Amino acid sequence: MLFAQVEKTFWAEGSGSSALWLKILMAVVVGFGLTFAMLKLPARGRRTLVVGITFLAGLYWVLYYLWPQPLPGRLANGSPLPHGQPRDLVESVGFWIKDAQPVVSDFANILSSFLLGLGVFSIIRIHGRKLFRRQPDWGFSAVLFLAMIAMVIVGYVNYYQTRYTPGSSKLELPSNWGSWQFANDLLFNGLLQQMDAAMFSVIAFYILSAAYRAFRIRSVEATILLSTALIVIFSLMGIVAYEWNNAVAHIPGATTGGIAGNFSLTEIYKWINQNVQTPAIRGIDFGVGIGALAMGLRLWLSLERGGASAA
Amino acid sequence: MATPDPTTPKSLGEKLQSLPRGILYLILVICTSVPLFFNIPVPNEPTQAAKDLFNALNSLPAGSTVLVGSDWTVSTRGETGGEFDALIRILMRKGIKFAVYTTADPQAPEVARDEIVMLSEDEKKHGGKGVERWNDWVSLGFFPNAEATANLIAADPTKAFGSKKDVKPDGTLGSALSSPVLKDIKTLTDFKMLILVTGTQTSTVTIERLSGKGLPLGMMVTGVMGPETAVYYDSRQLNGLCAGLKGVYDMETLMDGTFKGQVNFGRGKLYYPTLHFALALLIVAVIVGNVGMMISRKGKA
Repeated sequence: MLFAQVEKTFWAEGSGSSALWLKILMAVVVGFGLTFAMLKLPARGRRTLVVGITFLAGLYWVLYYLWPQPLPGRLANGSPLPHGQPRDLVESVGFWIKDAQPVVSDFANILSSFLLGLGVFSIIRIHGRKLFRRQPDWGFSAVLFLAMIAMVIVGYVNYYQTRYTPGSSKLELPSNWGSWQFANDLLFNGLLQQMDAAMFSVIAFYILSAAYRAFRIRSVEATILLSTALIVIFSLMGIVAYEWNNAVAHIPGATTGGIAGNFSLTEIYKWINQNVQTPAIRGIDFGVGIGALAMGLRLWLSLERGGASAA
Repeated sequence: MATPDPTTPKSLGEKLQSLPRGILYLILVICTSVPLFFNIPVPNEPTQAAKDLFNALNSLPAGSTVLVGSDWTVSTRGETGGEFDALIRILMRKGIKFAVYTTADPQAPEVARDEIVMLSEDEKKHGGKGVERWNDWVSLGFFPNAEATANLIAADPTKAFGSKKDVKPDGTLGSALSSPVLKDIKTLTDFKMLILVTGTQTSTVTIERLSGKGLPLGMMVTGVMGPETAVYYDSRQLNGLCAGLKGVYDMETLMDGTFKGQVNFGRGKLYYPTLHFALALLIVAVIVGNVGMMISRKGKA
């Protein structure tokens, strides 16, 4: 029996049941045990393990896309396929790959979640050292810790109250909020989100400054680039597009299929978009895709001499 | 190499090329903030891509379910926030159920939830029905790995969303799959459409994994992402596209033509004049710099 075809998985326990919590605890213990064992392995053994797991993980996705997928429903003679019975080895493997996808995707999501833990650990390590050793600018680290702790406490209490307490659905509306919801709103919407938006809006200043200082018509190429940019900018300005198109529409023949109709701003932008912009982006994307494929192959086969594979 | 004497007065050309940064920034602040205080009507002709997206949404049958990818936060709210508002208002008015998921940013689910609640209350205030969580929409939360999640949604949405829970009207938690929104969803094509509102590269991930599988796709992206996403609209992998602030205003303009007498205009109409002033300033700044360069060259010749 294939692992991925198991109907009831090891984890299929009732939500919040003690059996599930026990299994989660066991998994954490086993996980820490494996991590500790890996740390104790000699560097060569560790590398072999990492290379092996990387190859297997990559192999799954290669097979997922390239292995023939099982045909649903019918045998070669047209009769219905017996439930769960593959016709040959190729189809058996095809079924296995298909069935394993939820498990592999869960692994991918869980591993990606570890990045958050890694980030928190890294922040605590770097800024904790700075704070306790009173290194330059340690005050900023103190503010960071204060903000992080406040956000975590308020965030979790709010999360618990809005999901696990009686009448929690009412807490969606501000009129029913308690002090924790107001605190969460202040920290999340009032501070974090606004600072995020403020940081992003700074880009506008850089764009203006850079365009003013760097955009000079020094060559034919720069002139073409500037003219094209101007047309694209004008096409984004409704009032300019409206006036331009109106002016063109008054040229005899423009609205009845005459050549002048091609000079409306909408038509010029469409021509640039379809004949210059899109092909150029497709070309760039194609190059990026080939680069990503090459890099993916190098990572999959552990040919990159950096990171964990170099351990 | 000889360095210019700092005591030598600058020529007009040099002055025009080296306006103080602070002055430029001050003008930008004025140009972008003053129009917000005035209601300036701007004529607008929606793009074909926005029309296609609106028509696709408008033709969805009432009671059907769509999947909404919400990969935006407040940092791009001027564009994606307006797009999300327009999308949710259309879905509410058409009676279409929706499930919201996120693959880009852990902050995004809370931003989306708050926005939906606010929009629902606003619709009710203006005589609309609004939406009720669980019965009309569900929040599926955050998925840390966009690629794996998109693949799984394509293969089996019940597995992708099987572990997700949401709050019922009575305040208890229930499996999102048992909600009226998702109870009839068994395969990808049971969703009538997927609309992704994003300020990140999850657009590419979604198109790569979900296009060509029988599910109509619509994208609502930032202006910066517009050209690269338009490539997929041109190749007919997308059923419609709304890009940037112009896209928001396009959607609002189209809504105004369909949902008469309701609240149709929001961020698009409010911010579009600001975009005009900002772009005009950009053009003027580039012209000033180039005029300065030409004057300097003539002076040296």
